[in-house]
Amino acid sequence: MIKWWKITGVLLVLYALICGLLLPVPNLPILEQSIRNLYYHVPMWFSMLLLLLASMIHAIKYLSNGKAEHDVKSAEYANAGILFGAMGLVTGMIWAKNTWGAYWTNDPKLNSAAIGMLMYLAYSVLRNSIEDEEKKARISAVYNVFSFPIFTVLIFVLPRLTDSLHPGNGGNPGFNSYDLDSRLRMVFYPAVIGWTLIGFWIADLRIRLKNLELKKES
Amino acid sequence: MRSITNIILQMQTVGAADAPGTEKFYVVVGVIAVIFIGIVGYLISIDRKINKLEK
Repeated sequence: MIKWWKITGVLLVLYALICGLLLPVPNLPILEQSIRNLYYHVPMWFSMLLLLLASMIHAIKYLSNGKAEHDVKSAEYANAGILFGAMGLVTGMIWAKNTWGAYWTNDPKLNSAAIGMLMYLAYSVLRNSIEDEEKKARISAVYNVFSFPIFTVLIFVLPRLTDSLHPGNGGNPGFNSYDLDSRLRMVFYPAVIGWTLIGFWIADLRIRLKNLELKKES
Repeated sequence: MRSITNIILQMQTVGAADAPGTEKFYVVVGVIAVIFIGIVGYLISIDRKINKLEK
């Protein structure tokens, strides 16, 4: 049987995909209809963040009890997180080209996100370069526990200290307090929850595959 | 690209049902929905296969 949360994720994303195109949106200057990207681009980052958070939690669990299952989970959540992060970067570049006039600007949020993605790519390289299973698990768990807080600071704190092209950054306006109206919320929040659930589903498939592989080896 | 933008803009100002040619926009929405459902169907089949392997 397919678990209930997977079905929920599918239904929410389907709702967000369709209503994100059909429901009316506020007419904002420059952004105009491209504000609809809020329903597709931004949930990628939220899903990534939650997947990476889960990855760090399992890294901590691994460090405290040394069970291999936590190492598998930690690694696969990070992999799914990297996938969503890459989607966020690419979709963001398309949106940036059409609103800010360039695929890449020196916006602190962009550069921070790029550094963060490189940190997690390094995590994956680090894992694959260590032969010994236990050593690999321990070193990558420690790396993971350090990367997540640094990544969070990079993308959520640093852009607020300077100026940023992203709304809700530069100064301290709180969470999109004035540019997210109720029409946008109605699709945006389901999209975030839905995509996150899909992300966990993809990670779940890989975790179970990895566990089967480990079982076969032993 | 231009015509899609125009259609959406028309939907915005006139309302989805009234603008001429807008009904074609629903075709695109349908296509996107079908693609997503297809990918999800594939995910489900992988999930079932792994389920079977686990038993």
